[in-house]
Amino acid sequence: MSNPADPLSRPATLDRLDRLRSAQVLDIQGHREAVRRVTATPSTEGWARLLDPAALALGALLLVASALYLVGWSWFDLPHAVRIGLSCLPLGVAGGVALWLGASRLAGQISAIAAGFLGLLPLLIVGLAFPSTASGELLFAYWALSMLPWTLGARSPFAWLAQAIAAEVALLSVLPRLLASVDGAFESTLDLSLAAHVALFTVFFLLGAILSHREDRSAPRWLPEVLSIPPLVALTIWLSSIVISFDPGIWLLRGGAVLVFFALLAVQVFFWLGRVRLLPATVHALSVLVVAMTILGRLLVEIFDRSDLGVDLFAGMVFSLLGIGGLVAVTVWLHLGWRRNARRVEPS
Amino acid sequence: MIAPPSLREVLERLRALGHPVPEDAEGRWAEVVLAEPSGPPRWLDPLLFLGGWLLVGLLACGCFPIWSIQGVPVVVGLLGFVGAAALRWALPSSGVGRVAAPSLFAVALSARIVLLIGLGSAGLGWTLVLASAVVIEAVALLAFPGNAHRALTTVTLGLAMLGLLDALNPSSLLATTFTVTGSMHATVAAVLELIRDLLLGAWLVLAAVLVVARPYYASTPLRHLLEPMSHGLAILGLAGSTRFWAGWADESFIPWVGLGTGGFALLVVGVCLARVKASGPSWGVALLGAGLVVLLGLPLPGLSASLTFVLLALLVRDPWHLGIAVISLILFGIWAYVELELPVLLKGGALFGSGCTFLALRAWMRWRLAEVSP
Repeated sequence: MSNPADPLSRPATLDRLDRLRSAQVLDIQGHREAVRRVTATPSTEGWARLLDPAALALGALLLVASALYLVGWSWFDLPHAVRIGLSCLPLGVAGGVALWLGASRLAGQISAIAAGFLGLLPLLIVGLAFPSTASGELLFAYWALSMLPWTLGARSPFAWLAQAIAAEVALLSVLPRLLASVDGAFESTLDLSLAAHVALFTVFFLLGAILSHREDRSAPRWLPEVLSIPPLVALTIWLSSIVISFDPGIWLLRGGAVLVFFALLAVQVFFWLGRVRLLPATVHALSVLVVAMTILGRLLVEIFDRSDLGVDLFAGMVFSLLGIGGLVAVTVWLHLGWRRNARRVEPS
Repeated sequence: MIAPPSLREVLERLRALGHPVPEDAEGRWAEVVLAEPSGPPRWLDPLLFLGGWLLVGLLACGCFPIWSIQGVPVVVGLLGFVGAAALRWALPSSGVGRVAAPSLFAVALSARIVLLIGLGSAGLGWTLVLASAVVIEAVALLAFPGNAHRALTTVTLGLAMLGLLDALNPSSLLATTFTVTGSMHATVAAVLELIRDLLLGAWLVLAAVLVVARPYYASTPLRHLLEPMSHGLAILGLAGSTRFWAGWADESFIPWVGLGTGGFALLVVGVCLARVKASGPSWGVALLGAGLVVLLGLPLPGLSASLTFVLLALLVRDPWHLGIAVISLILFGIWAYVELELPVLLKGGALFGSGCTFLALRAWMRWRLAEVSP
């Protein structure tokens, strides 16, 4: 592993050796010899270190595949209890490995995330075995809940990302049922989804604001950033679809949500760029651009008469030039943010 | 492992070889490393590529009515590509140039697509359009720098060549140029198909040669051209090897392809063993393994070729080739088992046997290593 304090512990990549040669701190002969060293075949132990886990992974994978084939061959002859037991087996193995290795090791974290996903398998099998008792809408909600202990245990941003995706899927499958029980409160599933996503997004934004101002560096600052991505993507898609299916009758109702979204995003982008967090700033800025371009496209379609070629060309040029301007502005803005970040890091 | 050694290890190696290294080399190397131009994170590159692609797409949509004017796409495509290439060379490799590079790559790629569409719409016919594509892609390979661009252009150049051979073939659906009848029809078709098969094999061999020769050209400026070309050729060659066992080719041809790839694998294993200075028993086992690769090559040359490329990538510590070969190995492996004409139970048994073989191989490797290590 490279030590950040020691520049010479960094890997000797070919580009880096070229730079040393260009800076004339390495002569031609030395450069040639260094390149030979960098591209030399690893030692026997090096080969073994690579081939050992590869053989283990391939062997295990093929054995699992063979088990799947053998189970698949006689699946419908098996009693329900055996089927459910078999579906719990991968969860048990992944969970057992996760508990055994612990969250301090990467393999343990990956096993915990896998266990979270594999929790869906027994739920599906139970649902298929007893269709009269199963609730299709709540299946993903149960799954998202069953994933939570593994997520908390894994302590990994990827586990939280998986949890956020599961929560999104659960939300989208449960919403129609909720909508049926709250008759008249919401005009459609679309409105309810929009409200839920704005709420989710606001919660993550506030969480991010609180965590990023804490002095404690061990606080999981990445958590709200990671969690805000799935609701933001879903929100962007919802908003774009609302704009495309434009209906003046209900536009005012939804317009409020759109305005809230833009206000939130504007604050978010300034906030993240101020704190120089490039990933959320990029995602949020692109989200604004996508929705803004959808609104612009919709307005142009409404305003201009599409039967005239000249008008068509003018509208197209307006759309493309504003889109290009937006893209360039976002890129330049992010680049400036990154430059400011680099300048802040340098003195320390 | 395959990761490159640290700069300190390289420096120590140079000293151990008796190379004249100044006393203050550590300090001077560290200065250069610390002065390295930092750029935005790598994950931004695909976004910037997408941004460039969207930019061109938006512009193309906006100018939609002018595309119907004869010659406009050709001029716009040419200007777009030349402009993007000129900017790519003119801008520095850090700062703005680093941020602009992925977008310029997207602009250059879409400009070539517009140019080819323009040539097609000018009524040139498939053969001439594909011949132009070969020339355009060859020029783009040399004219536009960047590893990702050159690897992709190698692939598109190869595909254009295959398309051209297909267009020349009178049996093909694309054929428009020649009308050959009778026995000549069959002869021309057979010759063109043979050229195509030889081309696929040649790409695989050329990729392998470029991988093995990496230590020799890596210290020269040619690296920036040959390395991405070898990646593109490996993708083409490995993908092309599917042809030999997907039932498209004449079955009598298959054993020769299998023997060819198997023999090639044998050669690579020999070179690998010589490089790691393996002992007697290792040679025996490796030859046995190579024999199995040869046998595997008879029905499944793709799998055999992928295994060979895994070895080659390890031989010269090339992570990109290793990635390509492992992906190809996984895809060919899945395909091989799915296509296996056996009852489900026997297929499960074959998978079980293969899994046990790998685990036994691992156990043997550990036992050998424990015996060799003090």
